[in-house]
Amino acid sequence: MPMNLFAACRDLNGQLIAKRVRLNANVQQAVTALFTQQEADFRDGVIEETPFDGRWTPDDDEFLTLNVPAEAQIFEGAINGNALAIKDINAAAFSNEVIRALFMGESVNGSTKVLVQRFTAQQVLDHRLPLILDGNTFRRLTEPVFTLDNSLTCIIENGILKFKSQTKLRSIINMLDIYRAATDQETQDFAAHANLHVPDVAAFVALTNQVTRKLIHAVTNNQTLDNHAPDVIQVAAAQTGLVIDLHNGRIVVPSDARGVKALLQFLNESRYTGPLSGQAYVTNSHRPA
Amino acid sequence: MLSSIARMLLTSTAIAPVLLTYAWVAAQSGHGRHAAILLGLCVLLTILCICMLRYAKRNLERSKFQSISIEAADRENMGFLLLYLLPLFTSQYDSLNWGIWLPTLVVFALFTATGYSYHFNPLLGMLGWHFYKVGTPEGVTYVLITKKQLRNAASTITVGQLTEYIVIDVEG
Repeated sequence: MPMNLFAACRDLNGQLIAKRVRLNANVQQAVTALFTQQEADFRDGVIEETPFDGRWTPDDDEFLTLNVPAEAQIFEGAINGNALAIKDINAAAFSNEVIRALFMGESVNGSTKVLVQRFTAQQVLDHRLPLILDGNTFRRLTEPVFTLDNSLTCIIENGILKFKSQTKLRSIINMLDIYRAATDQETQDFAAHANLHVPDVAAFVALTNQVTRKLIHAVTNNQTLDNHAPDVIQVAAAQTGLVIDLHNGRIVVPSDARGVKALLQFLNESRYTGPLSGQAYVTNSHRPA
Repeated sequence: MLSSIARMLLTSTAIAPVLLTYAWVAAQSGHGRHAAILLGLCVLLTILCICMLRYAKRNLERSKFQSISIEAADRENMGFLLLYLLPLFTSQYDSLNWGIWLPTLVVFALFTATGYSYHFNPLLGMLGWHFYKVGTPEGVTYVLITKKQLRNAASTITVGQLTEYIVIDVEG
């Protein structure tokens, strides 16, 4: 049975809503076959499903899983209802629709499956001067044109969202609260490290954002605080122009967001001094020289 | 959904049976040639209707359709039956006022094509299709055209969307 194609769009209030993308029967079959193939590719080699713990990418044989967030319930809602009742996408002003994802799915014996592709502005070809062969010359294609992505971003099955890339998924749904919830424990554990002094753990947890939590995850994995004594870290930090205070031999974590970020960047070896200029730099790259 | 031209064509097939009546009236009045032309036009429209249905079934996007209530709607064709019988009340074929009849038929076709009512096409009924008013869980009522005899609202069928509120069973 061919599936219907839907778009998940952000409305003016920022809410995610489902709209229907009408196809003719031939294209519907082709798109259904494409999504089905992408589902097989997406599942290929995956043998384990792990609850999302803040990781950005799982192992190759893993799915990260979430209980479907409230705003993502429109996906299953669209599949379980009558497709005819879903408002059509504005085809004439396609490029003005804030489309975040394209999805298809089916409901069999009460079990619902949704296959979701993310959708980015690069897929709207109107923005990129598309040319089409007309006779023996190319002319500009003026009709709304878009392409499908070459892989799925997630699969939603029976209330569980399965994904492989947080980066891709967060372009569809708001991951801030989900990420915070998934990493709260790790942040608290970090604050409780024997080599750190955090006067107010609750305030520290509230202060951290997605960037700093990502750094906390990296520092925890690198075991920087386990492998280097606080006084050694203090001296090394001073060489990059970063002042670190110690309290009873433990590193004092600043109480402002900027200070926390600077400390974490240093602990993650993302802060260094130029050997010639002596200038302090911050980098995202960890490519070995 | 069908394009407006396709909808207009399908609508025009609804007036095919009335041509039969006119052909009969013309034949009775000794206008054999007119009767043959009207008869030919009737056959042409019938073929057109069959082709349009085949086109719709082959080309329309398929969707699963869930209903919560079903009501037969074939009886809506009674209005058309009146239209078909009207020429029989005319005493003579020669006395038919074509200057009024033709534009009336055109306006009739336009109204049914542009509104949501063109599904009341008795020709489809003669071809074995039935009309049902079908309520959905979303609270919208559609007209379903199918060859099946629906006896259970809980069953899911696969449809193509002819217009905003008219769907056709593409499995039947």
